[in-house]
Amino acid sequence: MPLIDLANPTRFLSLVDRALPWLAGLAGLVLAIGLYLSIAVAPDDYQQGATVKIMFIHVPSAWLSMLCYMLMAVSALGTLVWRHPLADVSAKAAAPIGAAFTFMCLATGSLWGKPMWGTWWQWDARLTSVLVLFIMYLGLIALWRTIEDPARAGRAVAILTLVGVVNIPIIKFSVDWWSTLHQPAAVIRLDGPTIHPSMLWPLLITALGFTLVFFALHLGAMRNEVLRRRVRTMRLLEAADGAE
Amino acid sequence: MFGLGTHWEFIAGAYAVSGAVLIALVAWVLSDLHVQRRILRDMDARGIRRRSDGGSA
Repeated sequence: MPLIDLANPTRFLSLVDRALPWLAGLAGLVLAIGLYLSIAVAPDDYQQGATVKIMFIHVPSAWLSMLCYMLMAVSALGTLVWRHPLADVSAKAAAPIGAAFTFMCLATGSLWGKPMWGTWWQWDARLTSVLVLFIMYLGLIALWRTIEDPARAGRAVAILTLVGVVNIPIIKFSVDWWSTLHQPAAVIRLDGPTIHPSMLWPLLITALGFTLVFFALHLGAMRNEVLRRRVRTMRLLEAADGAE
Repeated sequence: MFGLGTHWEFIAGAYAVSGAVLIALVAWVLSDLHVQRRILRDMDARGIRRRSDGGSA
């Protein structure tokens, strides 16, 4: 189906109604397999012991916090450049989900840091830039709520989203550019992962499960936003008819 | 606990926080869907429909 066909909200809702139950089921299944492999099958780390099991949820939530922001950035381009009607719907639906995954990343990182580093928090470049990402999500959600007209809000949020994209490479490369307490990348590296396959595969399967959950939630939230705008339009037309 | 070693409370806490966040997200999406559909049903019952559906609004 061409992307332009999805510009019709009725067609989009029909597609979501058909696809979402399957996507949600698949997401739950893959996540359950990933968590089983992570908790019950993957070995303990020789230095961290069982605490390494926190990594199986911390790393996917960190990846998704950035993936969600990049999806919002593409949606912002869709709003400003291509003026696709679903672009700002996508951005608005993604922001709370991105904030939730970023919170999950910060919380699980903190719960790992206390026993491993001896501190809940450190103002190093990686942790601080992820905290900035979380605050940016909250700011974008607040901006959506500040402007009543969804089209105007969508354009304002799109501009702010694109400005904030600069934080994503800062997060990714912060561990290379600065001396940080946070360890360098161990999976997404030019010379390949440095994690043993017995831990890498559970991590990748859990990450796939998280990603499917993210897209299922995003589609569901987009459907809700389309319905909300339909309600808004009908109320405006009702008020206009009543005024005539 | 369950062979999680001396730091089991941190591991259990991390999984509990993640589970709570995911459950909250699912609950948010489902409850919002329920609210929007109820509003649309109420409007439909009052005869307020989109013009493309042959309604007055």
